[in-house]
Amino acid sequence: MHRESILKKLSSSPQGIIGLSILAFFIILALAAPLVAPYDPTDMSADPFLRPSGAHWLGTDDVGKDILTVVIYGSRTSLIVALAVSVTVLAIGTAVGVFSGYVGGNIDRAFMRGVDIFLMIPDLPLILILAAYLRPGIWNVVFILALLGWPVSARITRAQAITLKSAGHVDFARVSGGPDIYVIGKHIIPDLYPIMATTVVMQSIRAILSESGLAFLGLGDPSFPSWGTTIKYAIGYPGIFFTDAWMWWLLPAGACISLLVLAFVLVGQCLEGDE
Amino acid sequence: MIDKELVRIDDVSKIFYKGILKRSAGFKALDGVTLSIKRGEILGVIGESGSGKTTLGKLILGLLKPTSGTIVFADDGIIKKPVVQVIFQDPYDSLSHVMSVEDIVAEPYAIKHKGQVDMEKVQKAIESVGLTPVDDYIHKYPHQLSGGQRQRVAIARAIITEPDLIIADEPISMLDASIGVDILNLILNLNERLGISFMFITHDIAAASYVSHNIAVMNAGKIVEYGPRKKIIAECEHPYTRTLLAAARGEVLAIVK
Amino acid sequence: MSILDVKSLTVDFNGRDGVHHVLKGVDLSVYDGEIVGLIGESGSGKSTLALTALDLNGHDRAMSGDIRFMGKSIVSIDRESMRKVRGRHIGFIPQSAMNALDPLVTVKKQFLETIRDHTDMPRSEALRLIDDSLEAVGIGPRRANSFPYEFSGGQRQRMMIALSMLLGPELIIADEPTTALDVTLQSRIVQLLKDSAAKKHSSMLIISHDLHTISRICDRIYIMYAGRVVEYGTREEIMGRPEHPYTRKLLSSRLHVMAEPARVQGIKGSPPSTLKVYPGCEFYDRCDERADVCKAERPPGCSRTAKVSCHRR
Repeated sequence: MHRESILKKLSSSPQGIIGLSILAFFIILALAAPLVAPYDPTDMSADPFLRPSGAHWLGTDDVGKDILTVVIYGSRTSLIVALAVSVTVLAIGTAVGVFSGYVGGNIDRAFMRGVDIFLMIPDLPLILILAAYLRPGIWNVVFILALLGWPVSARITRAQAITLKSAGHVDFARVSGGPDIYVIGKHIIPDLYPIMATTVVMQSIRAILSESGLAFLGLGDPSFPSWGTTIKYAIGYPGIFFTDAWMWWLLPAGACISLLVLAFVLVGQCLEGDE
Repeated sequence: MIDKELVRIDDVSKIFYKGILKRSAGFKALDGVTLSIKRGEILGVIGESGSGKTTLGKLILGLLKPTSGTIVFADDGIIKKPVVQVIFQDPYDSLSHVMSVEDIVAEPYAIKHKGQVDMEKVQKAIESVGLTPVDDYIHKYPHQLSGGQRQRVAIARAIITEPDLIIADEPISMLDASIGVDILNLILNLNERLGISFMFITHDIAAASYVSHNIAVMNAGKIVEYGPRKKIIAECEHPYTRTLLAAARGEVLAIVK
Repeated sequence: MSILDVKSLTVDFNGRDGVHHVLKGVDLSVYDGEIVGLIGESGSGKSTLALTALDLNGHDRAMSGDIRFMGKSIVSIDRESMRKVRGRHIGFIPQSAMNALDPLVTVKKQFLETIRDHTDMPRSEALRLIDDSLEAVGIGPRRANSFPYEFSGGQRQRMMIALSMLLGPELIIADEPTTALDVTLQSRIVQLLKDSAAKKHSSMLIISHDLHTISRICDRIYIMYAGRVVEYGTREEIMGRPEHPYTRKLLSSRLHVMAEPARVQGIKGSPPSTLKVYPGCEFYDRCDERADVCKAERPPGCSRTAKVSCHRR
C-alpha cells in the first residue's frame, strides 16, 4: 500500500466515503467554530434550562450557556485530543518498535520487558492516581492517554519490523553500505504505512472515548468545552431524566461522540479491507 | 595473501546460539571452512538445503559475523578493498515494492555518493542486463515485471558500483528453466566483459557446472571437496559429491526414511 | 475412457488494469491410468487450467468451454457437489504444497479431517489408512503426531502427496510438485509420484515448467504457450521428435551437468502479456523460424489430428 493509494482506497468504498465525510464535517465544524457558533462558549448570560428555540437551537444548560455553542466547540476538544494522542503514540510507538525490532538481541529483549511492564499497569487506577496529582487540563489528558497507548503501538510495530527486516531488499541496502538509519527509513518504514494508518485510527477512537470518559470522571479541562463534560454535568444534575431537558442537553453530545467514533471506525474498516 | 586473491576465508565457523547467554548449545552452520576467491573467477558453491552455503555468503557480505576464524579481503594499501555486492534468490522479496526500477538501480551508487544519482550509469547498467529499450523499464515498479526481469534489475543494481565480487545466492532457483539460462549467460557475460568475480551459490549442479571455473561442494557446514570444474564433474573423489552428481543426472535413489 | 476432458476452455480474469486472457480455447484429456504432463512457462495459463478444473479460482472469472470428469460435466455443478468431488475423486497437490499444511495442527489431525469430511470411516480404520499412506511416502508412522514445522520441506512435500491420495481419487492434479526443492530431491519426488499413482490406480496430471524432470514419468505431454496448447504427444514424440519451435527451444535450452564449458542459448524475450489480444501467433517475437504469415494469422489450433499448432509445420 503506497501513500497515494490510501486516498484512492478511501474514496472507492462506501464506508470510506461516509467515514471521510463525517470526519470532514467535524473538522470543518471545529475549524469554523467561532463563525458557526451563535454565541461565545463562555457566555452565560442567558437563563438556564431554556427549551430549544430560535435563539437557542438546543436550549441552554444549567448555567445558562448555549448548548449548541458548547457542542460545536466540543468538536475541537475531541479532535485535538484525537490528533495529539494518535500522533504522539505513533511517534513514540514506531520509534521504539522499529528500533527494538531492527536491532534485536538483548536490547530488543530489554525494551520489550519495559513495554510489558507498561502493559501490565491497569489503566483506570493509573488514571485516577494521576488525576489526583495532576491539575485537570487538556494536555494532561493527552499525556495520560499517550502514556498508556504507546506500548501497544510499539509491540505491533516491532512485530512488523522483525518480519520486514528479513526481506532481501533490506539486506541489499545494508550490503551496499547504507547506515542503519537509512535502511530503516527507506526500506522498513514505507512498509509500515498500513500499520501506521491503522494505529492512527485506533488511537483516535480510543482518545475520543477516553477523553469523554476522563472528562466525565472529572479530569476534563473545565475551560475547554467538551462533549464529555457536557454529559457529566447533564447526568450529574439531579432529576435530569424527570424533565425533557436530557433530550437536548445530554443527547446531542452523546450523538456527536458516537458519530465521530463511527467515522473513524468506517475509515479504519475501509483501510483494512480487501485490496 | 596470494596474488590476485580477492577474499580469503580462513578456518571460519559460525554457530547460531539460542537464548541470551551463549552457554546453550547452538546450531553449527559452518565448521572450519577455508576457501578463497580470486579476481576474475566464478566459484560455484554447491550444497543441499542446510549445508551452510547461504550462511557462507552472508559472512562474506558482512551480514553475519564469524564465530571463529577470519575473512580477509585483499587490501595492500595501494589497491583498495574489494567492492562486494549481492544477488538474492527471491526476485519478489529482494526489490522494494515502493521503489521504481530507476530508484532501485541508482541506490547503491547514491548511498556511496551521499545521495547523488548518476543517471548515465543507471541507464548503462539497465542496458547491460538486457532490459532494453531502457525507457520501457526505468519507471516501472517491481510488481509490473516478471520474475526474470526482476532478477535482471537485481543484477543491474549489483553492478552499478562496479563491484569486484558478486555473491549470487541461488539467483535462478525461482525462475523458469529457460529464463534461468539467460540469466546465467548474463553472469558469464559480465564476468568476461567486466572481469567481475562471482560466488555462485546453488543446489543445482547443472547450473553450477555451466558457469563455474572452480567448484566447492558443501555438506553439513564443511567443504567436502574442492577443485576445477572438470575435476569435480568428471573425476570427483568424495562419495557425497558422487551422490549429488548422480541425482542431478537423474539417477534415482531409494526413498530415505 | 477419459478421466478428464477439457474442451475449448477459455478463461478471462477481470483485473484492475483490464481483462486478462489467460486460457484461449484449450483442449486436453487425461485417460485412465496415464500420467500426463502439462508444461509451460510462468504465465502460460497452466496453473489456471488446474485451478479452473477444481473451481478454486472463481473470483472475477469468466469462462466458456467444458470440463468433464469421468464423463460428467463439472463446469456448472453447484459448490457443494464440487467440494465433494474435490478431495474424494480429484486429489490436488498445490504449488508450494509444503506450505499448505496448517502449522498449528498435527499431521494426524489434518489427515483425519480430510477422511472425516468425505467418508464415514471409523476412527481405527482411518488411523490405519493414515499410517499406511505416510509409510508409503517414507514417513514413519510415529511421526504423524508431530507438527508440520518439525519436518523438512521435502518431507512436507511427501506428506502432501500422501494427503492428496489418501482417499484413492481417480485423478490427481499436481501443480509444480518439484519447484522449490533441491535438485537432489526432485528426482525422488517425481519417482514417488509415479509409484503412488500406480499403487492407487490413479491417473495424474502434472503441471510444471520443468520439462526434463517431469517428462521422466509422463506417458503423454502437452506444451502450453500464452494460454494455448501448441503441441502435444507421447513422451517419445515430444522428447525425441519435437515439432513446435517453442518445444524445441525448451529442449535445447536445458542445462545438463557439464565438465567442459559450452554455451546454451535460452529463449530470448519475455512471455507475451495476457492483456493483449494477438492477431497472429503469440510466439512470433521469440521464434527463430517465423514468417510474415505468423504475425498476421493465428496458426490452426491443436486437435485430434493436428498435434502441432504452427504455420511452419
